[in-house]
Amino acid sequence: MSRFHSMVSRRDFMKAVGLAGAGLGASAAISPVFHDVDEFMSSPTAEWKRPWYVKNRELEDPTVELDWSLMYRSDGIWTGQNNPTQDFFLGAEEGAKRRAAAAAYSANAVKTNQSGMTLRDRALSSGNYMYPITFMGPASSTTPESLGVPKWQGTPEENSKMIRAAMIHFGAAQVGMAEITDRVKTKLVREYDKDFTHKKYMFEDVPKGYEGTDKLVFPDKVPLYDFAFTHPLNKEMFRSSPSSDIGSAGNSLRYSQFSIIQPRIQMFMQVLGYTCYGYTRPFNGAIPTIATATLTGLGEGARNNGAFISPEFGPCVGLFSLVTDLPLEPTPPIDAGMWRFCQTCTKCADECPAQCISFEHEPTWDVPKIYGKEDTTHIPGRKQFWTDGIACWSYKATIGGCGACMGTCTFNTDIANIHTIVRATLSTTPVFNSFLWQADKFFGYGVHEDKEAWWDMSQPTLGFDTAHVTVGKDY
Amino acid sequence: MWLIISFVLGALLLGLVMWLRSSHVSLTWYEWVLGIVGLVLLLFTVLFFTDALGETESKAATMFLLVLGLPAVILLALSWQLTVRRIKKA
Repeated sequence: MSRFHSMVSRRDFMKAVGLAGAGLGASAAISPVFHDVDEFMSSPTAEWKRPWYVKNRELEDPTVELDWSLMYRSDGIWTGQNNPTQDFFLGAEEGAKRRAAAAAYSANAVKTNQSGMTLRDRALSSGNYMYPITFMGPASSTTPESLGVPKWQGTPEENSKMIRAAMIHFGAAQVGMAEITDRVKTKLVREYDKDFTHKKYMFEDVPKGYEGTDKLVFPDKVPLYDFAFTHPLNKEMFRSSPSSDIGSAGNSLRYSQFSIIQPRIQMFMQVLGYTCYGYTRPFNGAIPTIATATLTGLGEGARNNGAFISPEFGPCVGLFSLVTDLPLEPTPPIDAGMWRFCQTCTKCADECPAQCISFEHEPTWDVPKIYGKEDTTHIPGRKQFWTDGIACWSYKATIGGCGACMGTCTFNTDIANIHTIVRATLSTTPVFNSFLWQADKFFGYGVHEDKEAWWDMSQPTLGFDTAHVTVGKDY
Repeated sequence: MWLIISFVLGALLLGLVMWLRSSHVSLTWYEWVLGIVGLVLLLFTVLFFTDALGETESKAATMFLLVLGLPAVILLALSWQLTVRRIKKA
C-alpha cells in the first residue's frame, strides 16, 4: 500500500521528543562546563590531541623494557658518527679508507649528475644553514625585573600547556615533559658533550647554571625539568634513500630549524624569569633524545634503536630535548603497538645497505660485541635490538648518505585512510602484525626509485602537515 | 567527490527499490548480503584507490583495484545474476 501521509502518531512523536530531550539532558550533565578560557586551559580536554589508539602508560615505564640499574651516563663522542670512535672499532686505516671513499663518491656523484645527487640536490642539502647556538642562549634585555613585574608563576600543568603552545608557535610539532629526577641525573644526562670541545656536564650548588671553559653546569639544588619535542621530517625525501642529497636535505632541515627554535625558547624563558639550558650545537644535547622522547610519550622505540617512531608522524621525525627550571607536569610514555610491531617486522633491516640492523624477533638485554670489542656506543639497560652504529655511519657515507630504514618503514606513510586503519589495527590486534607487514611490502610502499620526482611533488611547508597535531590525526 | 558518489548511490538505491516494487520482485536474503558486501567493497576500493593515487603510490592503487575492486565487482555481478536468473526461472 502506498503511503501518502505521515504514519507517525502524535503519541509516537511526543515520545521521540521526550527521549531526545532526556538524551540531551544526560549529555549536558556529563559534559564538562567551562566558564572562561582559563578554565578551559586547565582542563584535561585542553591536552594535546592524539589518535584514540594511543594509550598512556605509567611514568618511566615505556614499551621498551628498562633496567635502570644497568644504565650509566654516556659520553657523547661514543657514537658511530664520530670519526675517532669509528677508528677505534674499524682501525685507523679502514676508517681513513672509508672516509676517502665517501669523499670520492660524493664528488663523483655530483659531477656525473647522478639521480638524487645532482647540483640542485646538493644545493638543497647545503641550504639548511645552521645558526650558532649556545648552552645558555642569547641574553634577553627584557626580563621580569626590567618590566617591573614578578617572574611568571603557574602550576606545572599550566606551564606545560604554555610551553607546548609556545614551542608549537616556535616550530615544534609535539612536546612531552619530564622531571629531571636523581635517577635521570645519574643515568641519562650525558657525562660529556658530543661536541669536539668535549665539555663535561656537571651539577653544582649554584642558583643558575653556566657554561665554563671545560664544563656545562646545571644547578644541583634547583628542581629541573626537560621537555622533548618533535620536528617531523619530509617523508618523501626519506623515500629517496639511499645515495640521496634530497634525503640528506630532508634529514638536516631539523638542525637548521632547531638552531633558531632553541634561541627563541631560551629568550621566551628569560622573559618569564626562568632559564632554558640548550644544546651546544644542533646535534649535541645533554640528554639522548630517543630516551627522553620515549620517556615523555612522544613515541616508541623501533627495531633500529637509532630511530624512533611517532604514532602521528612515523619514523621520520627529528627529536630534541631541552632542560629548564620552569616547573612542568610530566607526560607518560605511550603504547601504540609500534614497538610490538617492530618485533615482527624486519622491513628496515631488509632494506639496510649496511646490514647493520638486527633481524632477531626477540629483543635482548645483552649488547652484542662489534668488531670483536665491547660495543661502547650503546648504554645497556634496555631490552631491545642493537644496531651496529659504526657500520651504519661509516658505510652510509661511502654511498652518498642513507636513511632507507626510515624511508621504507611500515610507519612511514602519508595521509591515506588505510594507514589509520592499519595503525589502529596493529595497536589493538597484534595477531595481524605479520599479515600487515607482508601487506605493506605487497602493496609496494617504501623507498622510491625515481629520486628526482620529489621536485615535482606538492609538499607541505617544512615537510610536515602541522595541522595534524591540532586535530589528533596520524600521518 | 564523496558528495557526488553519495548522490549517485542514493539515486541508484532509489531506482533499485522502485524497480523492485514496480516489478513485484523481492530479493532473497543472500542476494541482499552479496549486493551490500559488494557495494561496501566497491566504496572502499574507490576510497583507497583515490587515496593511494593522491600519495603517488601507483602500485598500491593498482593493488587495491585487484584485492578489493575485483571481489567487489564479482560479488555485485553474482548478486545481479542470481536475481535475474531466478526471475527468468519463475
